[in-house]
This record gives sequence, structure tokens and C-alpha cells, in this order.
Amino acid sequence: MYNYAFKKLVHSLIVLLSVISAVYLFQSYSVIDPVDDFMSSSFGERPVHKKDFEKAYTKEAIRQNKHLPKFYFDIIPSYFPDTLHKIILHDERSFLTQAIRYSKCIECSTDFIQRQKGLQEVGALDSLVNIETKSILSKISREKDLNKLAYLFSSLKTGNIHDIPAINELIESFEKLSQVKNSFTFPKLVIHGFKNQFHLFVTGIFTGKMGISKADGRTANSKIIKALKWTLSLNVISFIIAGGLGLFLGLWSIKNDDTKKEKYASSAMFFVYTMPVFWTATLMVVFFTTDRYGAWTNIFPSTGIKYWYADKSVSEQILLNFSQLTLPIICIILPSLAYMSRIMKSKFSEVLSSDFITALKAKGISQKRMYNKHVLKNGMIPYITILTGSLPGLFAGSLVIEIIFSIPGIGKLLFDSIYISDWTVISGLVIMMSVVTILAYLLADILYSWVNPKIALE
Amino acid sequence: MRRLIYLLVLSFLVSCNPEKDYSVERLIVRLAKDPDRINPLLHGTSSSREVYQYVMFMLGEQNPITMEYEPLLVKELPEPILITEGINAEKYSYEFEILPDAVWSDGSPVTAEDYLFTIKLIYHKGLNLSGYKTIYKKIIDSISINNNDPKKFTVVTSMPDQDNLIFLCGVELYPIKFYDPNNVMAGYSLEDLLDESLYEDQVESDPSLAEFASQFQEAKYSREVVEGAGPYKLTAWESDQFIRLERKENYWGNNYPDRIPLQAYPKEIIFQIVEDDVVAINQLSAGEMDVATLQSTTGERFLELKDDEIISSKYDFYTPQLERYLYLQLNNESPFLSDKRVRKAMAHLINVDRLIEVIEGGVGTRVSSVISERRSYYNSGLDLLDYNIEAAKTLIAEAGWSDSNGNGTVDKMINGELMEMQMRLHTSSSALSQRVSLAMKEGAQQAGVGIELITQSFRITKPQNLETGDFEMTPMMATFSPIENLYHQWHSSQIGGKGQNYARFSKPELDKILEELEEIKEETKRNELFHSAQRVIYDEYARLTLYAPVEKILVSKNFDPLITSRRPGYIANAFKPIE
Repeated sequence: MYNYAFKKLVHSLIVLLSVISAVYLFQSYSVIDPVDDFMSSSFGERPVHKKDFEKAYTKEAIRQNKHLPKFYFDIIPSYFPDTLHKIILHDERSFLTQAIRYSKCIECSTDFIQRQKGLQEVGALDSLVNIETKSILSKISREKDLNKLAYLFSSLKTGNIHDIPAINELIESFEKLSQVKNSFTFPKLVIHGFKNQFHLFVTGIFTGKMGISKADGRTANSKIIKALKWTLSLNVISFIIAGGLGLFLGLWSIKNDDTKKEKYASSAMFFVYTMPVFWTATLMVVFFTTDRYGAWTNIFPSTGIKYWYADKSVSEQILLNFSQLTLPIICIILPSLAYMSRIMKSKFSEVLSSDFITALKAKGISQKRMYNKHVLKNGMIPYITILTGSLPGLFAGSLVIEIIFSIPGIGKLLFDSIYISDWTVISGLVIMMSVVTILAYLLADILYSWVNPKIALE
Repeated sequence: MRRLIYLLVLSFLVSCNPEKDYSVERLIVRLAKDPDRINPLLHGTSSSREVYQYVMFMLGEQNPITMEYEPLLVKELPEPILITEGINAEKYSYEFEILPDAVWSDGSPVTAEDYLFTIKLIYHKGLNLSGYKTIYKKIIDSISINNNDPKKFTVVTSMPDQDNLIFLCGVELYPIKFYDPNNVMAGYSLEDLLDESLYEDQVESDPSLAEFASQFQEAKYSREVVEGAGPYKLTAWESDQFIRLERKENYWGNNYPDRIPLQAYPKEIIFQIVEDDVVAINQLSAGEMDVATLQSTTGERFLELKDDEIISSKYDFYTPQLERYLYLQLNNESPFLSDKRVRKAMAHLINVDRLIEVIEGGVGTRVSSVISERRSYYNSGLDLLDYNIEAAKTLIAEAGWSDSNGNGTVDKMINGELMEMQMRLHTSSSALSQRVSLAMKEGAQQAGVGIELITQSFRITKPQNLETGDFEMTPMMATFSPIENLYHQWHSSQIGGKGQNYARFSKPELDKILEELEEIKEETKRNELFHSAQRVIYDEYARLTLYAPVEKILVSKNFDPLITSRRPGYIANAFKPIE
């Protein structure tokens, strides 16, 4: 048993590490430069002057550990430098990488970039008279795409610039860079040790330091915990009601099987189950929150939570906001209720047709005792499976419901964070959901083996 | 039993019926976006300003009705006095006196030290406020506080014009007590903070300065500590839900009833954050909001709402015109648009009057300059271009483009290759951007110009297209600033990298003008330079300016509102309840 639990625990840890690695990979290779993005949204204005910008950028890049290598090791072509990560400015680093990859020559690449930078100096092009040449050189001085650079150099009429050595040297430098070498090179392994971005990312997760949300400067943890309170309140209430009512309806259906009212109830449940939740939710908002369709339909308040209770505790807020939560709860309950009652009915009917029930009936057991003691108990196994299977959902939130009813829960937080690429919060949420899912399945596996030791042996 | 169940359901439904609160004490205002942070120097976004304008005050502000600049926290706006002797001889001084009864929310007086502290924040090297810093460094030579009266101070400047007075008054005052409880900044003078080398040394020898900067940028000073001399204080903030401001008890500003920002009619202002216009209209139908601006609702839909009995019985409709304009950002370096004639042709191909008709319901003003017509340096000699397909076709032909292969799209041989004029127009999914983009596409098609609409978030367009120059056009909105700085958007040094010259417009003539504008202080000369800069941008069709849109606002009939052309189009604190 302990052996089995240990094995499952190790498996879970491997799955968790895989999820963390996947999150890290997505975050690292996003098209948006995280440093610049954070600066734009968190520091007010972005420094206009290049030097100020570079200073501020470097400071932020170091805060985000972007000056460190990405992983414990690198497998790179032998002509590649080991220390490329030390170039902090994202644009410069990617241009140099591109140039080295293209030319397979570090010296040619750095030489060209240095000369190109020289062209950006104030007054570098002042001695040029021809406006067209000046314009092309000005574009060359800031272009960071080698194909475009090749096109710009080809359209440069060199007749006008023979007497300017700096420009001639730049052209020569680009020609050198363009001589593509096709020789095969062996890859090399570079070990970076523990001081790398991935290591710090993982340790940050395990020590609860996920980082700061770029949206509002709060820590990702505090945002997730706050959202979790609303999601848990909404889902736990729905879970309890749907669980209780589902069981009750299943039992009621089997007792009243083949009666007219049971058939009506089954049809109604089937109808509810087939309705998409976003549709039900929208209809409810449209019909039951305004008096557009008659004053009597204006039963519930509009979406969102009430502002006048903001200074109360969370539990008080939930109680006082109950009328706001009623419609979302109904929307969550309806499909699960239909599903649960159907499952329960089929399981109970299976139990009722078992031999041991026939034997009990033959013994003359009362119907009440038969249902309560035998049918209910034996039918509970799938019920427990459904309930434990729903546990991760309690934390993950109901995205559609939270958005339509504007509930500040996990689903809405995830949606908003994805919309603005707030990676710190997205990573936190994905990892939190993975942990809960893994724990729920781990718990279920251990419980199964405890109930039925055969499972562990198998 | 069954009766009991019916009774329970009925009582539940009755209890759910919301108490729709029509209390005139509470003004519920729709806010389309959560401001995320409230700290004017660091985050002066429009949604943030919509909230902090009732909490944090400047020394002076534009009157929302007359649009004249008026005193707010000071007794009066000072006139410049020529200094005749001493080290500041031939410079000018402005003598300010803060209102004697002006106090912060804890009752402590607003003093000249708080003003000095605010300017020190701007100069702090650890805070990225270089835009502010460039301006204030140029204007302020020194600030001296009166030894006998902590409410009086003098600013010495060598640039005594009206714009500079607006800058001197135009920064929200931060109370030292709340934002610098350890009094770190008191140890440094303005000169210390401006000395670049000294700062680097100070950070090493006295880490408290750097620590202060990093603390000031933390969420605490943007979400919890939001303090000012305004009539309201922040009492609750639930992200993406609401922000609640409560009127201060015995507010000192009650002694100045003529100063509109100091008025405080509603006891509470609740900003209800509703991003979607459709949801906002639903809440308006339910009477759950008092003021709402419908930003993405078209003029046609707005007119429909006026005919809606439920809504029009509860709300009045307003359409103030704000200080901003819509334009099409062009990439002047694109092979299609590098020719001025093609750019002019594109200006002929968009039916701006029709856009105003459909999007704004016919209310909205066409714009031909990048500077507001309210500014003294506005160049009024820039004519609007007509929607004229034939003129556009002629210009395109003159630029060498013709439909040589008869496929309906004009083409041209460039570097030995036949190039079809098929441009990309990057647009966001907002209704406004989409409509403008479609109008451009429709017009262009008639002149044989192909336009492919690429719908993607502006957050992607900015780094991937605008900053790299990999685009042809994109619709954008610009705000007319009270004091324009064209350098950031138009100087050739700001092309590429993280510069903001997204038009990638480079003309030595304009560069020279903008460089002179950075240096020259004399007002008449500056006005001339501004005129010339507008003329160059206009003559080159470097940007397709479209029109200044109106704001579409609904206000509950329970209030007598104050509507203005200042953003967001109304002044919530001055909404008088109708008894």
C-alpha cells in the first residue's frame, strides 16, 4: 500500500515538473519581450532617450533574471559564443544571434554590429549630400533583419560614398558577414550550473514567490488567493446543491421508474443537459435582471458583485452578495444536476437488477430498508468517482459563468491575464490548477486502492 | 409539504429582488476599464485619471466650462516677476501661495514642502519619469520655500510663458507624509537629484534612495495609498468590479464653492467597472447606473437608444467633443507609401464625412492638423481633403502605379519585379477600428488599391509591426495634449527600436524644427516653429488625420450634470441631485 502510494507520488511529481517546464517554455518563447512589456505597463512612461532606456531596461531585466542563461545547460554549435545571454538588450541579442547563425562567424557579426551602431551616432551621415543615399544608410543603421539589410545594401549606389571610409568599411563588413560558410560543425555542451532562469523559476514556485503581476503590481499569489475565494464559494455551493439534489433525483427516478411524472422529469433533465451553459447564462441575464420583458421578470440584480459591502469580510460579502450569486449558481447546477441524476439512476437500476437484491426481496426485506441500506450504499461508488473528479473544477473556476456574470474568480482572472499576456499570473494559475488536479487524482488512486486492495496489486 | 416548498421558493424570489438604489447620495459611474494602478506620475492613463481627478489635486486646472486655466490649490495664478539682481538676475519668479485651509485627509496642511517633494519625485533617477523630467528640468531653475510661511514658495524660471505656468501647476501634489513616511527625499535637494554622477554614488552609499524608488513603484502606493487634497477619498477597490470614493467629512474645499473641482455633491462616487457596452446598456435599462459613456457604441445605435422608451425615460443623452482625434498611422518607409502622392491618394480614398455620419451619428469634427485647434500655435491654413476617387487615381498613376496586367489592382516594376499594390491594414477588433479600416478598404478598392485587413490586438501590433516597421497602415487614436511635444513622434531619431516615430517619417527639415523647439523659449518664435512643423507633416501626408470623435454619454434624470469637453466628458463631483 505504502509502496503504491509512493510510486503514485513520484509519478505526480514528474507530471508536475513537466507542467512547470511547459509553462516556462511558453513564457520564455513568447513573441512579446517580457522586460519591455513590463516596463511599458508598470513604470508609467518609457524613457525616450536611448541611454536612459537601456539603463532602465537593464535594471528590469536583472530583476526578471533575464541576464542569466535560460537552462542548466545549452547544446549549441561550436562557433556559437557561450555568453550570449549576457547581452541584456533583447533586440541586440536576437540580432547578434541571427548574424552568428547566418555567418557562423562571431568576429564578422560583432564587427558589423559595431559599425552599424557607429552609423547611429549623431552626425555620422552629415557629410553625405545625396538624400537618397542618406535615407538608405539611415535605414541600414537601424535595420535588424539580415534579409532586409541585404536588400538595402543592394540598393545603395556606392558611387556617392567612396570618399567616406566608415561607410565603405561597413559595406565590406556586411560582405564578409554574408559569405555563408557551409562547413559542418559539431555541437558543444555548455554547462551553466544552478544560476539559470529555469532553476530560479522553479524555486520561485516552490517557495511561493511567483513574481509580480504586470497589470497592477500585486503579487501573483495575492491575486490568485483573492480570486480563489470567489470561485470556491461559487463552486462549493453549487457542488453541494448539485451533489445532494442529483443523488435525491436519481433515487426518486428509480423509485418512480416508468411513471408519467418520471418521464416528464427525464425529458426536462435531458433538455437542460443539452443547453449550452453560455446560452442559459445569457438568457438568464437578459430576462431576469431588467424589466424590459415586464416588471415581474426583474428578479435579480445585474452582474458583478455589490460594492457597498466591500469593507466586510469575505464570508460576509458572500452572504450579502447571495442574490448576485444566485443566477451563476443556478447556471452551474443545472447541467451537473441533469448529468448526476442520469448517472445515479442508471447505477441504481443496475444495482436493483443484481442477484443479491432479488435474494433480499425473496427474504422479504422492506422496500425502505432495501433502498437505504443496500441500493444506496452500492450505488454510491460512481457517485464518489464523479465527486472526486469534480474537485479540480472547484478551483479552476467556470470561465464562461464568471465572465458572463462578472464574478472576479479564477476563470475571469485567467481570461484577463491571457488577454494582456500577464505571464506571471498565467503561470501561477496553470501550476495551481495542475497541482490540484494531480492531488485529486492521487487522492482518488490512493482511496481506490484502500477500498479495493486489488487495484494496488494490479 | 408542497405548499411549504412553494412558499419557500416565493420568499426566496422576493428576497432576491434587488434594492435598486436611486439614492441621490450615491452616484454610480460606469468605468470601461479597471485603472489597475492609481499613481498619476507613474500611471496617468485615462481610466486612472477618471478616478484620481476627484482625489488628487494640482495647483491649477482648466475650468471644465470655460476651459480657461484657473487656480485650484493656490490662492491665485501668479504672474511672472522679472528678477533684477542677484544670481537669478534677468530670470523670472512665480510666487505661489497655497490656500490657507487646504489640508490632506488626516487634517495636516498642504504645504510648499509637498510641492517640492512632488518635483523631487519627477527628478528621482530611480523612477522612470524622463518625459516629465525633460520638461521640468527646462522650466524650473530653483524652488525656494518661504521661511515664515510654509504655504508660500517661489519658483525661479528663465521661461516665463503661459505654457510653463501650466506645467508648474499641472502636476498632482503628493503628500510627503503618506508617500515618504521615512522622509528619505528630504535628505536630497533638487540639485542633488539632477546631478547624474552624484546619484549613482548616492545609490551605492545610501541605498535608501533606490529603496524609496522601488517602494514607490510597488502596488501599495498605487492601490492602497491614494491620498490627495481632493474632496473624495478612496475607500474600496475590487479589481474589475468597482472603485468606491467617499466624500471627506467637513471638507475644506466647501469654503470655495466657485471652484468646480472642489465641489462635492454626491456623498459617494462608485465607479462600476463594466467593459462591454452591451452589458452597460443592459444595466442602464435596469436603472443600475447614473452615468455611462458608451465608447464602442455606434452613432446609429446611440440614436436608437434615444428612441428606447425604457432608457430615455430614465436618462438624458449628451455628446461632448473631447480633445482627441482618430487617424490612420502610415508607414512612410513602406515601398507602397514612400511616395507622397500615394499617401495623398489614400487621404482622398477614405470617406471621413460618411464615417462621422455612421459612427458618430453626424456629430464630430474633421481634423487636418496633429495639433488641436484650441492651441494658439494651431495652423489654421491646412485644408481638409475631399473624398475624391478620381483625384486619387490620378495621383496613383502619377506615382507610376497602373494596372498593367488587368487584374484590378495597380502595380509597378520595382527593382525588376512586378509589385502589386496590396497593402496590409492592421486593426484591432474594436468596432471603431473595424469600421475605419473597412471604410479605407472600400475606398481603396475603387482606385485599384488592394487592402488586406489583419485583425489582431494592438498589444501584438505594437511590438511586431509598429516598432519594426512591418506594416502599411493602422488606425489609432491620439489625445491633444495641452502642451504638445512633437519630438517623440516625429523626430527621425525616434524611428525604430523603442522610439515612437511609428510613421517612420524622416525629413531633415522637420528634424531641424523639432530640435529648435526643444531649445527655443521665446513664445512667438515657438509658435512659428509649431506652424512650420504642422505644415511639413500636412504637406507630406505623413499621417492621415481623420476626425475628432464625440463622447456618447447617458446621465440619469435624477442628476443635474456638468458636461464638459475635458475627459471623460463630465465632472462627477459637480453632479447635483434633483430633489
